[in-house]
Amino acid sequence: MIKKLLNPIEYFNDRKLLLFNFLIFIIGTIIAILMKGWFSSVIQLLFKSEVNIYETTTENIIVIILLTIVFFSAGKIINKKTRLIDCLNLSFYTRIPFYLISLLNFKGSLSRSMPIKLEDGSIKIPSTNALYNTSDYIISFITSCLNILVIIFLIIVIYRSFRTLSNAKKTIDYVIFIAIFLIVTILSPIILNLI
Amino acid sequence: MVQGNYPLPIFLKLSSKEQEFILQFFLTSGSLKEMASQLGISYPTVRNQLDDMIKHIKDLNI
Repeated sequence: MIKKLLNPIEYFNDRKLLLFNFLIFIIGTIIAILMKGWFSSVIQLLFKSEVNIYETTTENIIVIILLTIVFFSAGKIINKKTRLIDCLNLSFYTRIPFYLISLLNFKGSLSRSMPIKLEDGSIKIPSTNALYNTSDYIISFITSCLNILVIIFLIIVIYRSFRTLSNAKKTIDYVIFIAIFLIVTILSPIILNLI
Repeated sequence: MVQGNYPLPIFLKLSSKEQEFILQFFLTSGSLKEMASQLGISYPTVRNQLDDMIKHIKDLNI
């Protein structure tokens, strides 16, 4: 089962997976809104004291579109048979850990400890005094550990799934993919800031 | 008795797994989607296996 979870593109029917991913996208976006999360880049989830439903939903959609562009463009360069549906599935799937992490903000402590997005679009880093009690520190510690696990999980999922969807084998294939991924990761905060 | 060196047909140069794949491909009338459904794997996985086999057969021909 773990093998399947780490490479859904290899084992699951594309249409069923897309339906599942779409449902998770709706549920996950609702969770992120309720937990006051916002997506500042394709690989980042932050929290603030108040969120706008429209903003968080749009940010999530844009992140999925950007990730799909990364997977599809790199995939097409490597293998012309790469399909959009597989790239879209991988983009949706890589968002799931972010929805789970947002659940840790049920008490709102992460909203107080994380960088704040100001009205003018700039980001303010709060001081460590923003954390008020021991449970806030514990939640922050758990979040940090989970973030590391999520990064490892995402690297494995993206590596394996991308290999399947594009049939990538050579080192140059992965260099192309990483280059496009880095460019989009750098550009994504600028694009998301335009909302 | 007939003795001598004869080249093997390409099909026999393939691994048993590859031969099984060709048989499955034939039995599903060449439908990769049908094959994927029968094997319990996804379409891109079957397509990759086919692409790898095509490359292998081309290499054998050379």
